[in-house]
Amino acid sequence: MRVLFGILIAAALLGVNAWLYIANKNTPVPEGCENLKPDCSGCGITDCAIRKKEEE
Amino acid sequence: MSESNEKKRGFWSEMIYNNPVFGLYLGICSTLAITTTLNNAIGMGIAVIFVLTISNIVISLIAPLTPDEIHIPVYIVVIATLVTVVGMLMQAFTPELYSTLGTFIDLIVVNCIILGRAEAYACSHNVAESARDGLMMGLSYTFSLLAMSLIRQILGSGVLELSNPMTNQVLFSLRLIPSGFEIPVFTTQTGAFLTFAVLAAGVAAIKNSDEKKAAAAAKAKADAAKAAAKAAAASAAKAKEAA
Amino acid sequence: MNLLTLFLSALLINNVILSKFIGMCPFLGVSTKLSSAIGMGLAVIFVIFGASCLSWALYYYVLVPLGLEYMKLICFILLIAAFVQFVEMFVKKNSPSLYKSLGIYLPLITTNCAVLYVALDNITQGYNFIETVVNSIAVPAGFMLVLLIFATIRERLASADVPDAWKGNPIAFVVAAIMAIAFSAFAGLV
Repeated sequence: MRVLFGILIAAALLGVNAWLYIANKNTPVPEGCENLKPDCSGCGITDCAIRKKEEE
Repeated sequence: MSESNEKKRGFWSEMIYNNPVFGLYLGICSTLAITTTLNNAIGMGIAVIFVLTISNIVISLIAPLTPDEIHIPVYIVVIATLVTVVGMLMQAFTPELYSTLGTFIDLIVVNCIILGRAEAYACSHNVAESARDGLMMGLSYTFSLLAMSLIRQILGSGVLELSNPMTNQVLFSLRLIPSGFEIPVFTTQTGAFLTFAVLAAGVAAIKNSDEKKAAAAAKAKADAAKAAAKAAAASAAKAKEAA
Repeated sequence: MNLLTLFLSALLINNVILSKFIGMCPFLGVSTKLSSAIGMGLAVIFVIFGASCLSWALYYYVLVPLGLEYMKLICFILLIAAFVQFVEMFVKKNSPSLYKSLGIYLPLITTNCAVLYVALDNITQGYNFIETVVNSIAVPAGFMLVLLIFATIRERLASADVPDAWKGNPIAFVVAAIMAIAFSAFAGLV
């Protein structure tokens, strides 16, 4: 029973995450902010989403 | 980090070039924090190798099934589950090590190496390649931890010591610096930052000198090609003249 | 524990960057300019505060009654990711000016270890809700303080003549080492 609750909680959180990720992706960036980028050069992940935007 | 270059290099130069810690600055938090003793470094290294290899395998298997929009939360769940498993195993078999490493075992979840490799490599390669990549990355992370902890332990406490994490029995202990001559600052935060700075600068220096050599070689090649082209053009002109 | 003592010790003595080494990635990455350091710092304060309070509530009102304490890592990291997405979406919809200054740093925060660290720390230390609130403000405030000091130093450092191999991050670590010496003097404060 406890295990079932655990799985349910994790699944619910994952569902909320999926919904928010998709909703956030579909929300347009406000006007004038399309080309903003955080100037981050901390780590070496060359194909992180932020780095990719920067290179474009 | 192109793969064609990766394959040409040997094991050790790959460790230096693709070193996630000193070359790419990933997973710095745990590197700085837990490298006070050799024991901590080995424990943390093994935990990361385990999580990284298995998460790479699992993610390469589930990547084709995951919708693109939600791949990050899915990867996070996989990694967090593995870290929970590692934490439980360590709590059961090496309780002392677990309590010294403390939250840093839990923080493996947000270690950029693991999510970084999942996104950069495992999601687009097959299982065997991903497992190899996870193992290599984990090993080079562990080597970085070992380098840091060796320097810090020897200079800071003067003793090189290794014990069995399951029984806390000292396996070997060797005093390299006579007592009273150690430099205790190396066991503090300041020592961690300084050791890291020196090692990172060393890796950067090796990379710089290799790049210079490569650039010089490329230039020499280009010059030779140019000279050859010139000579060919000159001989062609001469031939024309003669004709 | 006295709340003021808790605040000061989380802010200065056990500073999250210089004494716990947590949050190093943004510390190195977003400290080259003062303006971006301010944006990042404020975004981190907001996210850590919100996410830790939510995690505290989730732990004590859901996981403990069900006996699922061992799930805290999975639940907290998912909660943090969801919270960051929610905040980003909210800011995008309602305040373009806020999005301009803080919003662009939000995607960097999900994998910032400081967020997960504070959420877990509140549980391991057994803080009650008031202490959780104080701790979740003091820790990111300490992060922002060090980030700002560091950014001002790095702006100067950009014009210094540093040997090739030490350029960029290695010299930044030397600066951090010196700052750690300075901050270790706060140990006698409380």
